[in-house]
Amino acid sequence: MTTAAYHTENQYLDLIRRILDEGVERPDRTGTGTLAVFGHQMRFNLAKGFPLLTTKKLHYRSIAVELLWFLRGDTNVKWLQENKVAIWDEWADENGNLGPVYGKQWRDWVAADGRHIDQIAELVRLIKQDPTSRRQIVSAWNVGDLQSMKLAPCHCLFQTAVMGGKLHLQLYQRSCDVFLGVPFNIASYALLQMLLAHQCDLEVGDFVWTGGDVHIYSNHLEQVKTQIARTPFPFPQLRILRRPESIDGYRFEDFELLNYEAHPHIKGAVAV
Amino acid sequence: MRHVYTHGVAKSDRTGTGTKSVFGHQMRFDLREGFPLVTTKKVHLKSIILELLWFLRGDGNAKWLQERGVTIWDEWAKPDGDLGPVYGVQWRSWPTPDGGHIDQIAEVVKQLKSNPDSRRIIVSAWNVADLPKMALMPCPTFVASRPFPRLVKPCRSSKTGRAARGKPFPRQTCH
Repeated sequence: MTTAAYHTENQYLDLIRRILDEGVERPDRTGTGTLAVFGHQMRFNLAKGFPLLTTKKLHYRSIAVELLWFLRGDTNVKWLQENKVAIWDEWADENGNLGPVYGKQWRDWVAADGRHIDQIAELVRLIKQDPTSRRQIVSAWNVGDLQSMKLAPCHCLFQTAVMGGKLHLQLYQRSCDVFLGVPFNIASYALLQMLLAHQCDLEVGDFVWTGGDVHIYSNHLEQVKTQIARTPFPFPQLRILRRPESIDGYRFEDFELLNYEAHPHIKGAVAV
Repeated sequence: MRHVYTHGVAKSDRTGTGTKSVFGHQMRFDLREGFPLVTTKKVHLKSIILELLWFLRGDGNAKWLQERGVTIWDEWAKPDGDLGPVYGVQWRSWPTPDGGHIDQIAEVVKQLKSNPDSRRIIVSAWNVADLPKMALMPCPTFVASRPFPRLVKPCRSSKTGRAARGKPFPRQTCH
């Protein structure tokens, strides 16, 4: 295999370089300190591979299991823990609860008049029945519920569009931990996009990542310098082996990750 | 416009007119270099300013605009001017299930002053529960701002932007 002339993973490495060049030093909620820029966009054509970064090894299993947990509408870490995923543990209360975070808002947004809205089911319905709709949006930013969430949504809102038989998806992420979080978020939403396309008999198009406060924590600076010195491998492929009746039916075993060649993992502490 | 013209995909739409579309785009304007009012065609600034003031009033009725000669929302309004819980209503009084209301704009001003490094300075008009009641769903879905030393940088994520009319003046032209 050869590396393409411009590998789209370079967009991520260029984002790191941009922050190192232009970033403003800034304190933050966690007390760690960051270098930050505001507003950025990247684009990954999913037809050319699954955008799981190769310049450091990523724990793909956690990404896929977390997405399935969102789709369950689950907001307790117990199911994640049973599936050996610990990424949400530090924000959970003693009973494992996280408050009305992503899964709740996606599957069961509560209206002021008591109605419950399943945004994911509505999205699938719209993509199938009204593919040219420009209202294919799922928002986790429920203003009335923010206070009760253990962590306010970082990936706030996403939109899909069907153009030329392809399903595109754009994510708006308000707060972006470039070294630890963003590689996860890219792969997670790319997988979600694949599942939506799979359910709706569409080809996958572009995944567009748009970030708001895009930052590198001061204790990740050495790590990112190591990473940008590396050359990406070709992206892997992700195959979906089975098509369940609805988007609720996917299991981790339904996905097969092929040809994931990556540079060694790089450790970095999470800011809580 | 050139990008959409060159790379756009033909697409039918809700309004039945037909469009050329691309998905996902970003532009950046440094406000210190001037006010970004498009100059390659004359834009009616008065309507833009009055509409913004109307949003900030928390108003969801076109009457206040009509009294000032602004008609851009008329085609979506009921005979009594009502538009449902659109932008202004969501910005200033987002309803919560416990019967309360949240003034997102006041909260943003408070955060910018007291907690400028916050990464949660966001206003959303996309109230999932209220969408069916809105005469027109939000096109600019939300605004995030982020102060850097002595700068305030708003970043608007617009759901649909029309290249010919929408971008210079999105609200009345996006659907």
